[in-house]
Amino acid sequence: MVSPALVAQPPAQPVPEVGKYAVQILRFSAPVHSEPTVMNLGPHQPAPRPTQILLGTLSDSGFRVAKAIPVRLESRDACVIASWQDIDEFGTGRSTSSACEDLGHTVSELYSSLESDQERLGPDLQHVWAVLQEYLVRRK
Amino acid sequence: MKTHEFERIVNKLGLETRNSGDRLAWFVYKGQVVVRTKRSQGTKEQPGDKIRQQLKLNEQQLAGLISCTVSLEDYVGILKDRKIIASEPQLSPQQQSKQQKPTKS
Repeated sequence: MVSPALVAQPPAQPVPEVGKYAVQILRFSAPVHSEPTVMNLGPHQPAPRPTQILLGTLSDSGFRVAKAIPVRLESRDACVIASWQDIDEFGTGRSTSSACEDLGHTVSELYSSLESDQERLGPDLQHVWAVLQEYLVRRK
Repeated sequence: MKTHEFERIVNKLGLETRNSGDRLAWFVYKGQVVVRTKRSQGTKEQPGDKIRQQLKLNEQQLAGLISCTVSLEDYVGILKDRKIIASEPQLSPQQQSKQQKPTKS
């Protein structure tokens, strides 16, 4: 089936004349389409940046991620914020990777701080400490 | 949130701080580490809503903390209301009178 947008131009007609050779151009009219043109841009991309990812590693080699960390990504102005909502922790950066790296750095710092202060944590930070122990394991 | 607003909160609440790439801050009440927050060293504008969540405040309370209408005592009261700080046990009148009267030795 031929697309209605494609119109075959009639072939040029040679005009036989003695001693000369000429080509006669024939006019034709193309149908006018009112429908918008749909361009095929390749595979569908819903958004330029995902809003949620799972973080499986930390830049701090002293920790192993035992359970992938659910990270929410937000863009604000020229900044990306990566946040771990279970424990209200976040990292910022100019890109997704730098925001996740900052989050990972903060999380490893938080782990070390809570570990050393675990005897005197308030109820909220006790919860944070329990979650961190579930997701992170300190390498020996 | 601007960096100077964060620092105003740090000073008002007497947060313990440590610089480690970011500036980490801890609120310690009667020897107990209660909440923590942080600000990035590199950026002037800090994500106020994230800091607000870490400090366990609503928008109005955070604005009051920055603008001086919420004091340190108010903040402790907010955290007690939200059970972030355990309330002190209520003393009976006898216990209160014992505490007020110094014992003679």
